Amino acid sequence: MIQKKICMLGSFGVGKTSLVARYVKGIFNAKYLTTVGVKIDKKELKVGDQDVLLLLWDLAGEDSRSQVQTSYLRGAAGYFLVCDGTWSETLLSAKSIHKRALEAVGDIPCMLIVNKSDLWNKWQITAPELEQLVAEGWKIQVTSAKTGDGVEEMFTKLATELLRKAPLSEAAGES
Amino acid sequence: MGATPAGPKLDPEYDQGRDELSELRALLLGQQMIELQALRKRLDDGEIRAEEVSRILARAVALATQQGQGLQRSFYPIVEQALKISITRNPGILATSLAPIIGETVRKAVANAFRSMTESINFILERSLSWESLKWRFEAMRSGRSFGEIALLRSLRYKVQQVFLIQRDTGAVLQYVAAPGEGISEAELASSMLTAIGDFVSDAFTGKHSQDLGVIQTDDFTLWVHHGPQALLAGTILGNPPPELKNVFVRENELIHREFAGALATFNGDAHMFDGARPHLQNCLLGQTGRPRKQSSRWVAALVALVIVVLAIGLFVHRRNSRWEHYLARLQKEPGIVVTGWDTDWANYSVRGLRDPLAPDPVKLAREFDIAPDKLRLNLQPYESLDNTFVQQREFNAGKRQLEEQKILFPLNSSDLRPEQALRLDNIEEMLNRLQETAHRLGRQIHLDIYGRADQTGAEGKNQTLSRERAERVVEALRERGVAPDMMTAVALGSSQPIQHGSTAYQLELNRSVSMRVNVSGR
Repeated sequence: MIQKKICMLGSFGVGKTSLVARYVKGIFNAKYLTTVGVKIDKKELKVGDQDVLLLLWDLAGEDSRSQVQTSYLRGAAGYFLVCDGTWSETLLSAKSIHKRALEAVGDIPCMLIVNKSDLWNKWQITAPELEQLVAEGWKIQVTSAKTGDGVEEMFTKLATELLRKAPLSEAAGES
Repeated sequence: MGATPAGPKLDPEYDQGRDELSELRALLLGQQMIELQALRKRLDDGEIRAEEVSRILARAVALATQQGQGLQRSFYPIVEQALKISITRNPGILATSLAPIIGETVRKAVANAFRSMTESINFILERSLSWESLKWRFEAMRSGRSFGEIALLRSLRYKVQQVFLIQRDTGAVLQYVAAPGEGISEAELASSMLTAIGDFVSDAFTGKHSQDLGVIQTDDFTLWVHHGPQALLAGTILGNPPPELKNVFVRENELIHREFAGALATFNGDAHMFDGARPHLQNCLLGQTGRPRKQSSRWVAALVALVIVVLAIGLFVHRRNSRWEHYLARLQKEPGIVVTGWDTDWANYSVRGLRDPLAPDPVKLAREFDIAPDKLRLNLQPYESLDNTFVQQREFNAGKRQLEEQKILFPLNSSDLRPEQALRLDNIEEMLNRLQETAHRLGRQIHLDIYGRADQTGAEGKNQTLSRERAERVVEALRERGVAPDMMTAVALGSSQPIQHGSTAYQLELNRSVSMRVNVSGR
């Protein structure tokens, strides 16, 4: 069993906690988010024939008053930048968080999540914009925490990416 | 090829052949010869090789490091030697480099030392009074082990429920053990949350990452975290863990760091590499609970009993002292008693001073204050007080004595007053007046018993009559001199109570008389 720490980053209200809740049933109350600024859940999955335990650090959303505490990123194997498709500012904000995360933990796997695909007709972020981002090298997943669309995929994809990026060392050969 | 025999040139043909060979060789291998010579020069010339190696050294070292620890191991003695030489030659360099971090390190160490010292002092204070600690000391002496070790072993006030080995950065659980019947199903989450809270505390309150969370405490539950460079060893403990337990956590974490240095450095999420650390965690699962509550209640009971005993003794001593003080005050206030010193010990009281014989009896007074007379040592010298009451009392006593010494003598077989006895009655009347005045001033009344006597000759019946007549005669004579009759009672003693026993003429005459006794009543 391989343990990997994954962080959920993004503006306030884009649906980070809902995405995690859709994916997993945790033991901690959502109150932790407002008090400590982080809520942790776990999810076991299989990538190929490798068991992986994802520890999902759901960090309190960023708003005008408070920034994401990058110290929570320490030791993370990868992270999600979550934005809200119906609200274009959240994409800008995700980009700025990405910049700070790069400074804090370096270039580790990350994925941009554009949430609320169920409200497709209200989206402010356009398809060309997303295509442009893909061209820039971003890995993007469109999801809906409400319907569950793309949620499994986002976690599986990142987990796969993590294992590809950091294969087992010889010493840890068997599993 | 250069090994040409160094003989004399005997054969010109040989020389010619040799030239041709060289020519042929140059023709066939020309370019390679030049390159070979250049290569040889590179290999032979130390300067050039050094320059070349310097260009690739950094890359070579980086490659070697990636391939394993061989290079580190070979470098280790050299680096150590070099460091030694450097320090010996110029300690300043190392001092300058260490200066910025040494302050922080020392501060941390001192703070830790102080904290554990305070804890030890508390612990020792708490334990030093108990019977149990004496037993442990004895056991330590007997077994040759340290007191701390015995205390840790025997201490039943805590129980380590769970121990986590946590990777420092990710918060991942490397290993987890729990005491039988304890433990949680979500060790990974708890451990991550713990790491998060540690981050939260250092960010929110100190702003420094170097501040490590050491203890989280609730009413009945303690979480201890020992921070190693790569991993944390955390334990959840019920009850009051003894400070010695901390040393166990520190020791085990250090051992884990030593044994798993490689695995810790290259950790990529696979906790299986740390299965071997399990025994170290199990070493931390110490303590038992169950008895402590009973023990503490027994202690509370003993303490309460002790407090009651102390209070009772205090109350007793206080009452005893207060009685004694009141008694002394009374003595000092009493006219005719002068207290010059006193002493008390556990059993006895003693008073030194002066006492007028007319003053009240200190022993009787002591009874009023619940002081047992046999516990009282009085050393009171007699003296005459000039206090007015005592002066008058003495005057009264003297007058009374004088009056009672008076005898009015009668002729044989007669109750007639002889003229010289009548004169004596005048004196008696004067004495009586003075005595009455003094008695009045002292607030007392006096009454006279007037005893008539007869000598032992003659019949008792006659003597009885005679003695009554003599007494009545004196009463009558005094009444004539103005003494109130109701303050006198005539008593006939006959010859039953002679003043003097004997039958000489003088003794018989003395018994034919009337004498008086002054009865005092009032205050």
